[in-house]
Amino acid sequence: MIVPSLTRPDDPMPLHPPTAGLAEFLAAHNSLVGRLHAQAGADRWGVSCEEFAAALYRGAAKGSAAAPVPSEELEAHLEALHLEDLALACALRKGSERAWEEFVARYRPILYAASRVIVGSAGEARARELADSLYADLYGLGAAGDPQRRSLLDYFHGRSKLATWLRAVLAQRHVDALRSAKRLDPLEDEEAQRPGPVGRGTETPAGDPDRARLLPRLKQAMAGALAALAASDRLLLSLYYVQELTLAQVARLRGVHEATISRQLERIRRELREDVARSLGAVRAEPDGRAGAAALSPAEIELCFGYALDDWAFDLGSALSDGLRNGSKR
Amino acid sequence: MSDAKRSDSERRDPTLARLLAEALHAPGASGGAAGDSACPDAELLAAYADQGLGAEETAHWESHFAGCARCQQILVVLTASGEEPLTDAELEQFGRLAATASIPAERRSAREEKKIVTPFPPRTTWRWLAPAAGIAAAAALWFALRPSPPRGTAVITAEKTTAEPSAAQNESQIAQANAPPPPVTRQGEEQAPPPAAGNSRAVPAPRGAEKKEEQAATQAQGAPSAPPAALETNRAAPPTQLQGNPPAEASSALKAPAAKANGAAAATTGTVTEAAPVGVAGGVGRGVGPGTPAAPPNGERSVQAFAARNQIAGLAKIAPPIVFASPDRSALWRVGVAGRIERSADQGQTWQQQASGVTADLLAGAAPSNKIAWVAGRAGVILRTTDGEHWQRVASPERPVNGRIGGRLDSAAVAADWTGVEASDALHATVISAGRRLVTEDGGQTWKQH
Repeated sequence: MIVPSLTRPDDPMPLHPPTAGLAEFLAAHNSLVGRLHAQAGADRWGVSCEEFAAALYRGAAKGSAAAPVPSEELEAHLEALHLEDLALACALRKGSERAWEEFVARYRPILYAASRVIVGSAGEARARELADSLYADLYGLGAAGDPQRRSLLDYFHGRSKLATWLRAVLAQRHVDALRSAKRLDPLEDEEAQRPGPVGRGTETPAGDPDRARLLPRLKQAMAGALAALAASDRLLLSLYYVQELTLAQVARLRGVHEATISRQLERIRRELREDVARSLGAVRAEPDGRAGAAALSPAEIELCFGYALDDWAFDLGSALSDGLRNGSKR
Repeated sequence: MSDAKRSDSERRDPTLARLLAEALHAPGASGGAAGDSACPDAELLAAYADQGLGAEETAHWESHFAGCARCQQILVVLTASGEEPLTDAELEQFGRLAATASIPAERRSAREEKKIVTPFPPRTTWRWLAPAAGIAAAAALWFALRPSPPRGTAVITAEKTTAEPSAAQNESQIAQANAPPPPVTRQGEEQAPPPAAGNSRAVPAPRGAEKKEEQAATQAQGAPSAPPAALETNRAAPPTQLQGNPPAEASSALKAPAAKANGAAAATTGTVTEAAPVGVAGGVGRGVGPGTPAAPPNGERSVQAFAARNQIAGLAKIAPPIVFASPDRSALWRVGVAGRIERSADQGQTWQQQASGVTADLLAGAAPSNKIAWVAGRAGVILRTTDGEHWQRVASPERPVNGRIGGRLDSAAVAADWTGVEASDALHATVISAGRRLVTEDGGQTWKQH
């Protein structure tokens, strides 16, 4: 029976005191915690079973944004954690010198490599600065034995690899720094920097009444089709067309083969085209029930798509976000 | 979007592809209803990237990501940051090291016991195989060649740097290309020890107490340093608050000044437990006197191990800790990665953390007295203490200003890594980088090429 006792006489830096519910958690999952502790190899870092249990419990209690992990799924959830990384994180938070040696040896090159990619042309010094900025936060502040000692590692619960989590923290910092700097720019500079719609502008050439009539309908149909997409499909489109990730990068992020991403994009494009054509070919009803614009003929529908080949500005990024606000219908 | 990105279906239906490409490319347009307040924390982002979320969670967060430009940008950066391959030169060097390194027989069993874990995800593509293999090989070599002396004893002696390893010529070439520069005497000869002023570069500590009476300051060895305890007090960018996680006190704690970190760090120091040498004092002290080279305790093999270790450390950018002492050996300092500085008043038995105020790797030190010491490191970092306790940063002669160094437009505009330092007192010191020597006579206010 594991008795929660996180403060040992020889422990220079005990972990956080038990949180509410930890005792019940230990009582209910004693053997599971012991097995996971062994599986994680936590002993080699000097992390006790009680300390590891507290780390497991905090992660489980945090749960997802939607809901905490149901108790019946708890075992599967805990077993899916990156246990060795979690044990190392526990040891790092305790200030274990051996753990920090391991961390420096194994993760420093990863951090430097990730930082070099993140800062790009800003240079090696900036990359090191970004990577090194994590160290103090990882080590934490507060006196030894201070139960309020906080470290960045407090927010790692083993749901991902430690290396990926470190890269995510770096990515967050970098993006937030860029976004903060961008918000400080004068409005006119921001407007000037924002790439406008590709092409010569939004105005339709004079003397083409069909274009003036059809383009707004095409825009409306496209917006409706995008709003009907599943969130996963909208994200895929954004990553590929807005963020301009390659197929390989999107595939890596999604955990599938590159060919799968290619097929998914093809499917989405086909469904969008069909939805747009269907929408243009139907009578549009006004909100008050009055009959709206007449259905377009097949020839007119093709004419719509023909106009799209010209320099026509359609803010699909806004359309995607508008669709999110209006809610997906699928 | 370039043609290279277009798939067959896009080429067959350019209309829709063009529509999507143009209309979706609107930075900041997809602000969505999610907003920053609903963004997931780093761990959830990482778990998503690792495909570690369940189906329901994945759907929930993808719904957010679809409308959140911030999260999309983070995911892009996160994805891209995992793609850094080793350069061709690094791969070649790792390969040569793996091919030419010999593992001493008595260490083979210890190596076999060690579990080498690569930090790369299990689902790898060909782009990961080479760096994963290279880093695993380097890690194996580092663990294998890392000396495992008896507890509390040092590892390397000064003379190792004087003898070329008897390994393959490739190894010595790599050593020349990558190892830190060897100690330089006043006469400029590339051999230990440095002049009598507590000057030193990376100093290997001698083996055993019996070596206390012999030894110049040479490159130190030991376990990699623990992380720094002090925040860089002059850090420009404020710490980024963790998204959605930290309580208010944690956020403010992360921004606390270095003083708190010092207290925390000091509490973690204590008895030297690793290979950090007890015998360092003797060896370094020896180097303080009139330079008299001493015989290497383990001869050629130690030289090989030391050279190989530095090669790997250099390639893996792992800086071994540096130890140097005052002339009377009443004060020792140990410096290393991420700005860590420690001082010992009992010849290395115990160490006390000191605040450096920097996070750069510290590569060399010199102590003209038990109160005065100079430390130099990467990115132009030069530190000095005049009371043995508190460190001040000294203006580097190589700090770039508006892309210029020393008046010359420098395309890299990156401050030099100082790999050596010599000092005779609080005012007179020399910093060394890549064969260049810059001298100050006024405590670092001005520098001139030597």
